[in-house]
Amino acid sequence: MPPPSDANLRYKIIDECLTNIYKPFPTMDHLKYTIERELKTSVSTATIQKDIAQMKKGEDEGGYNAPIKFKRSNQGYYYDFVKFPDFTIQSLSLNEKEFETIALAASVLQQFKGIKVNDSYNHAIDKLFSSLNIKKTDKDKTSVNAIQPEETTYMRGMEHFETLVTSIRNKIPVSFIHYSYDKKLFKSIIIHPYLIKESNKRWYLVGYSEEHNELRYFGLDRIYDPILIDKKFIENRDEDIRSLFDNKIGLTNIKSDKETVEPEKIKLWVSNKMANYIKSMPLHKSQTYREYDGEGEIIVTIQVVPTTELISLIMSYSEHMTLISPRWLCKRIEHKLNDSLLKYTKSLGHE
Amino acid sequence: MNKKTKQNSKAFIFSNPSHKDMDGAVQLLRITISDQGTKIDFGYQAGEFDAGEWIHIKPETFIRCKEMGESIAESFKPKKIQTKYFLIKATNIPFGPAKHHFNSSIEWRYFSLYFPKLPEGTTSFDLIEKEFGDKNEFNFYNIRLDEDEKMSMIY
Repeated sequence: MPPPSDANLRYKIIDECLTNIYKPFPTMDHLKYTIERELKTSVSTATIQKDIAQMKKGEDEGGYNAPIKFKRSNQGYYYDFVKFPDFTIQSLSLNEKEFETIALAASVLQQFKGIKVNDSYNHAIDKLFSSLNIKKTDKDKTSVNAIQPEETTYMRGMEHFETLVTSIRNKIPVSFIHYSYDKKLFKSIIIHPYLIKESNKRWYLVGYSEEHNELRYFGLDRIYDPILIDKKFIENRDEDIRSLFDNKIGLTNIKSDKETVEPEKIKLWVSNKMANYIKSMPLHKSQTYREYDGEGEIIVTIQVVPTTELISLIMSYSEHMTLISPRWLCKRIEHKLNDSLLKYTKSLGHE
Repeated sequence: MNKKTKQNSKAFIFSNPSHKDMDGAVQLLRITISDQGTKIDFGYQAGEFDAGEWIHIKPETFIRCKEMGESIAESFKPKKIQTKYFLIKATNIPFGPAKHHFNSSIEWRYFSLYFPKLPEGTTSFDLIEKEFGDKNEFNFYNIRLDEDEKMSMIY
C-alpha cells in the first residue's frame, strides 16, 4: 500500500533538509520546525522518527533505501554521502509497479501529442518518456510500448485549445469568428465559455452565446481568431455543465433547438453476432437489454436525446442492428438507407 | 482573472459592426483597432458553383474617414475632407492580380485586411476596393464604430 500523501510531503521536506549543504546535520528540532512551517500543522517527534525509519526501508516495503545516519557530535541527521554520493529521494527511480503504472499512463497521454494542446505539451511528454526510458531497461521500454491507443490526428482549431482553456479557467468572454458548415455562413460570436468537450474525436467549445442568447457549442475546427475580451462574464446557470451531455450520444440534436428536447426511449434489435459486443460495451450508460428469441438476439433499450451521432451509430452496425422505436426515427433512418441504396444502385449502374 | 492576463486598454474590437447593405458573398465580421493598426475580418462563401469563381484584394484598397471622426454616411461628397488609409497587409487572400480560386460551392475563405490605425473618436468609415466599382468590388460604406459596441481586448 502506498504511504499516505501527508507522509510523502514530510519525506520530501526531510529529504530537502538532509541535502541542504548550508545547514548540514539537521537536528530533530530543526526537522520538526521545518515540517510544521511548510505544512502549517503540528507534527510530533515520534511521527518524524517513524518517517525516517520508513524512508530507510527498502522499496518493497514502500521506503526509499535512504542511507540516513545520526551524528552524535552534531545531534543531527545526514545521508551517508561516502557510500551514496548525491543521494536524494527525489532522484530515485520508481519501483517496478510504480514505473509500469506511469509508463502505461504516459502511453495514453502520448496519443494527444498529435493535437498540439499547447506548446509545452509535446515537450513534457517527450521528457517523461525519455526519463522513463533512461532509467529502465529494454524490458521496461517494451512495457511502455505494450499498449497502442488510437492515434488522434491533427484537427484544425486545436491551436486555440490553450487560449480557450485559459478563458474558461479565468472566466473571460471570448470573441471569435465562426463558420457554419451546414448554413454556409460566417458569424462573429461572443461566447462566455464553460467547457471544452470531446465528441467523436472532435472538440467543441461549450458556452453561452450572446449571438444566440442560449447555451451553444462550436466545433474548434470552425473557430477562427479567438480574442479574450474585457466584459462581465455570464455564469452558467446549470449546476454542472457536464451533466448536460449525460443523456446523449454525441452532441447534435436532431430536433430543432426550439422543440423541447427530452431523452426518448430508443429500442433496438441486435443480432446474435453483435449481441455480446453490445453487452460488453454498452451503447450508453442507460442501456438495458433482454433476450429476444433464445438464439442470442437481444432487444436493447437506451434512454437518450436523439442525435445525428446516434443515427450514425445505428447505421454503422448495418444488418446487425435495427431500430424498433420511436417510429419517427425509424422513418428517418429508412429514408437515409433508401437514399444510400439509390446512390449504390446508380454507382453500380443497375438503374 | 488570471494575474498573467491584462487588459490591453488601447485595443478594441467591434463584433458584427453595422454598415450599409452590400450585395455579394462577402461578410464583414469584426474590426480590431489597436496601436498596431486597424484589422478587419471578413468571410467569403463561394456561390452556386460557377467554374472560375475567385477572389483577391486590390493593393490600392483603402479605408477613409473624415477628420475628427465625423459621420460619413454620404461618402461621395468631394467637398468634405476625408483621410485615406491604405491597405498594409492581407492574410488569407492574395493581392490582385493574383487570385484565390474556388473549386466548389461548399468552399469558403476567412481573411483579414490590415490598415493604419484609425484616429481616436472615429465613429464610422468606408472601406473601398475600387471607387464607383461594381458589386464584385469589396466596397463597404458607413461602417459604424458605435461606442456601445466597443469591447476592450485582453492579452
